[in-house]
Amino acid sequence: MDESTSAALEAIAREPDDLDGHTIAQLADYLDADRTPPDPTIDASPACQHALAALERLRRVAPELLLDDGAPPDDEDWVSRVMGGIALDAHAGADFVLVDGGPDARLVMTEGALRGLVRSAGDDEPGFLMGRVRFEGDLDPGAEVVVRTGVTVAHGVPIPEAADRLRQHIAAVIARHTRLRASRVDVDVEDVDAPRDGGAA
Amino acid sequence: MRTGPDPGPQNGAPLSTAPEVRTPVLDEASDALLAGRAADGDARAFAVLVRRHGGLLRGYARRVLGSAASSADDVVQEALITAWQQLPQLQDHSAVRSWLVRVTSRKAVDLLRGLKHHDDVDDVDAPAAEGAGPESMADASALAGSLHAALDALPEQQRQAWTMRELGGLSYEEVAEELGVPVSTVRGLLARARTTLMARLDDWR
Repeated sequence: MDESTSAALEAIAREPDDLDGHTIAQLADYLDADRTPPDPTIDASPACQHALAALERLRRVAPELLLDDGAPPDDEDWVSRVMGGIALDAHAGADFVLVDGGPDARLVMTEGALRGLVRSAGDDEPGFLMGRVRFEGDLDPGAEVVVRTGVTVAHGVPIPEAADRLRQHIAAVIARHTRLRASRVDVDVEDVDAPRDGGAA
Repeated sequence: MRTGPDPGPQNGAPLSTAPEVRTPVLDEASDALLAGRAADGDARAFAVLVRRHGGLLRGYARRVLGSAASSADDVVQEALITAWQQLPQLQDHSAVRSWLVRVTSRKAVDLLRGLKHHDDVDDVDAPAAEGAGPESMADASALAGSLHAALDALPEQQRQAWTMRELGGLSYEEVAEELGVPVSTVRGLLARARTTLMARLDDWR
């Protein structure tokens, strides 16, 4: 910050209104709007320009300094405490009947558990990281269900062939673990992982 | 090119130019993907978000809480538990970071409101510690210390409004909602906070 800016700051600190008719609030708004539309009464005022420079400096320097005193990001004790406090079955969803052997022999599964199965099946497929998993249709024994997935795919993967393998794998897992039949598995590629420079992590 | 371990012949193309397929890993996944998986009930994905943004949320909570900063870890922990429960209602998963900041803001403000029932140290405009500024400190941590002190010396609502706006990235409307005051009041709080902090930043020079 040069001396004239310092002088302007002092003036602002003492007399916040002495900005050629503008206020700090207006100047902050102007900054928020990327100085558009241009306001000649601000742009032509040295006092306003100095105040804008000071506001920008504050905005630039403050966040990194203040957030610097947060916990180190790899504080695993703290992460464990947080994770210990969450209810793992919070998003389990409704039960559906897996095997209906009458009132005395009913086997149920949660929709969340089925999502988890599909998710880990997809993660096991080379080149893919699974996002959301959705089912369409009733999850009754013997029913046909549509599986909708969102995925991130590695750069360099031939997507149509790889997606076919992913579909088959997911359909096979559903057939193996449930009485459902995946009539369709939609694969929605939401992201392609950026290519990596060879070896340079 | 193939994804299997044996790349095989590449139709005449030299092997070295074939892109290396590297299966994406959860730790490096986008916030949007992690939030989607967490909303589906994947605790591992949520843990990555906690690890990625926990430091920021804790630093943020300390600034909002001011003299009650020792409760910051509890506030953030509570906020994250609430976030885990409410994630399925989040519409825009790519905005999960600012959403976490908002949930943390709310928990921090709740805590301060609760404290006020017992303790009425409050919005008296404390004179901004005249002359207490650092004198010969020349490094970044000194500047940070100076800003910390200046921020802590602000009246509570000014400090909260500025922290939510500048560190949390909340809009004026969101700050107004969190603080339970009109947007016009938020503008005034921010203007006064900015004026004081700009002057303090200048003192340090």
